[in-house]
Amino acid sequence: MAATSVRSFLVVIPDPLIPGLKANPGGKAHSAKDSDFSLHVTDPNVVTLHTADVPRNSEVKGLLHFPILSEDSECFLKALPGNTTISDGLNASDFSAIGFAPWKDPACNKVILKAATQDTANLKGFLFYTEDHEPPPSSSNNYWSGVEFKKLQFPVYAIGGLEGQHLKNAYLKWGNSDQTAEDVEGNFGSPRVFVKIATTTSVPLPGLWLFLLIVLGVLIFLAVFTSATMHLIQWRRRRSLRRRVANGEVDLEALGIKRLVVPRKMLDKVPLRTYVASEPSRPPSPSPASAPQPSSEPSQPLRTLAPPSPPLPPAPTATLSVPPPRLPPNSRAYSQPSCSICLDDFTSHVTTVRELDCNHIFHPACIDSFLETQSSLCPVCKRSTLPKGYVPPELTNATVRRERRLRHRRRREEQRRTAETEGRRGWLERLGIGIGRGGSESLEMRPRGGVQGRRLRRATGVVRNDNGAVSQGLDGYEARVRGRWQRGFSAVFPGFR
Amino acid sequence: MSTSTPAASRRLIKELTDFNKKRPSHLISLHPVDESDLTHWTATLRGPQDTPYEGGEWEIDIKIPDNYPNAPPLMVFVTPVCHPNVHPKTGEICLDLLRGTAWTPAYTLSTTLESVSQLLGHPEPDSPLNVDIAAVLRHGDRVAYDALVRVWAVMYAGKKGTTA
Repeated sequence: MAATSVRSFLVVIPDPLIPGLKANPGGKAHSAKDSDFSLHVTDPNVVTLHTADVPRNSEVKGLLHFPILSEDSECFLKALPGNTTISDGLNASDFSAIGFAPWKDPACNKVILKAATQDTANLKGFLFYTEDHEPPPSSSNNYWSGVEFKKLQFPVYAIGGLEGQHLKNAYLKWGNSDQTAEDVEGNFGSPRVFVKIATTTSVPLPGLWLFLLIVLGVLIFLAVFTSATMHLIQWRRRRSLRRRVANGEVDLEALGIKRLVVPRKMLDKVPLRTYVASEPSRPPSPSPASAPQPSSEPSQPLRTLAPPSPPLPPAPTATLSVPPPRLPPNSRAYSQPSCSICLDDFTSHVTTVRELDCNHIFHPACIDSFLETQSSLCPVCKRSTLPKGYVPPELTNATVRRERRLRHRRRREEQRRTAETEGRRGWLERLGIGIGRGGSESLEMRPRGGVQGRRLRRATGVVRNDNGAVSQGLDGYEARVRGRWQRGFSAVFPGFR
Repeated sequence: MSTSTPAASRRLIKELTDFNKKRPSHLISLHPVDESDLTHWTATLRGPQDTPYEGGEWEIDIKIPDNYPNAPPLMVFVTPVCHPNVHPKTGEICLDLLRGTAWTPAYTLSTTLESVSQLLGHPEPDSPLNVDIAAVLRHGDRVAYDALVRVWAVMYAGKKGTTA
């Protein structure tokens, strides 16, 4: 593990002393008394060159020891100038030792380390000091290249030149001599330089944190991947729906999936005409045959009372085919006497009316605000005023979802019906309960066939919540029930509900 | 006067005159609660014939939104009514017409109430607001359903108790 600090001070080893320094089981090494030597080097000034599997949060400690080289070797002379003899007594002793030497040229470094591995002292670690760098370069620096640390059994650290010199001087003065010194307890013995190197857990990332980081990374990746995939899916679905709408395969509004509004630009294309009452002799009431009155059909379930056939004047197509010859320009004769939005009567030859494709007429003010803000369907007959294949500018994911749900439900119902005709009713009745909203019994209460669109609109427009109560239409429901974070969630993961 | 626009007010007044001119059979009364406020109406609905509701009279509270007739009126039953699509406590009515999905301005208060009246005769137990009575109906117990409806009608809606 990486070193965080190096401490050094003098200790006094009790007798017996040199030669053959042996640990005395009865005596204990204590700090030297009245010593003015102490060294404390901390993190940025301590570099770990090789960890050698030193357990974390432990200490590498021992007495300072210079590895014995053959004393006339060039490297020895370089490392310890002057006629120095190594006689610290740590060779072949039981005391832990910390080797130390200056960091020289690569050749000498190799020689020194080799000497250290062959040294008979009980080396627990090795401490290099730079002679020209203060503080020492970081462990990844090229400065430390040229030596293979990996195979070493002991950890290798390095400190700066200033501290190194200090340490060397202390070693030469006390650690390598046979003088005696007094320790704090008042015992006498040989002084030696003691070095303690503390290691930590911090570098590199310990296993647990690394694991958590990996898990977190995987989670983030999964989230991003899922989000991207879902966005892609939703985008493709939007595109598909847009295409089908453009091809006229899906009529969003008639299916009740989405309310469309008519842009002003298109509204301006709907003709404005001057209203002329069709025939003064004829009462301005609707012809009874032209549109069925839904209220007169009690056999129909109630919801189908909704348009397309409100009890209002129908389109006077019959009269349109034979317009009277003496009409003012840009005017037509209509049998519809009043605007079904404001219920006011039209004045013949005076009122300007907007005529929709279905020939129903309204005051421009009334119908314009309705078409621009509420719906694109004629209020009377529910025929769309938008051209077939009109794609609304914004198709949201919610719309796509509703359309899909509707399509699936439709397919199920179709399957059910075909299976029914094949005479497998008993089997399907059970299935119907399984897949449908209700049992087949309740399904039968609805009409079959033609009014499918309206029926389905009802089904999708109503959302049941967990209490079984029915909430408002889907849009309102989503706006109210979905909180801000839920909306954020569905923005990241479109498609989840 | 209310917050409703002049156009809406004109239409509401016209609806009121039309109603008074020709009273439809499904309504006993339809008028603003206060003559000076056209945004709050009240109506009394007659129980439709040949249904267990026949003979009862239900009061309905009507709130007119600002953008009426582009938006549907808000209708709730004031008189408690036993019906799968009417909330037993709030009187809220589950009818697509009243929810804006199927509403068009071509409907009037009177025709909307006609739809409510028909809802009484044609319950939709698949989208219930009153789950209990809907459950009865879904299980096909028409006798129990009719009896419950009649009891509520006698209790709240002024229906004469019969010996039947």
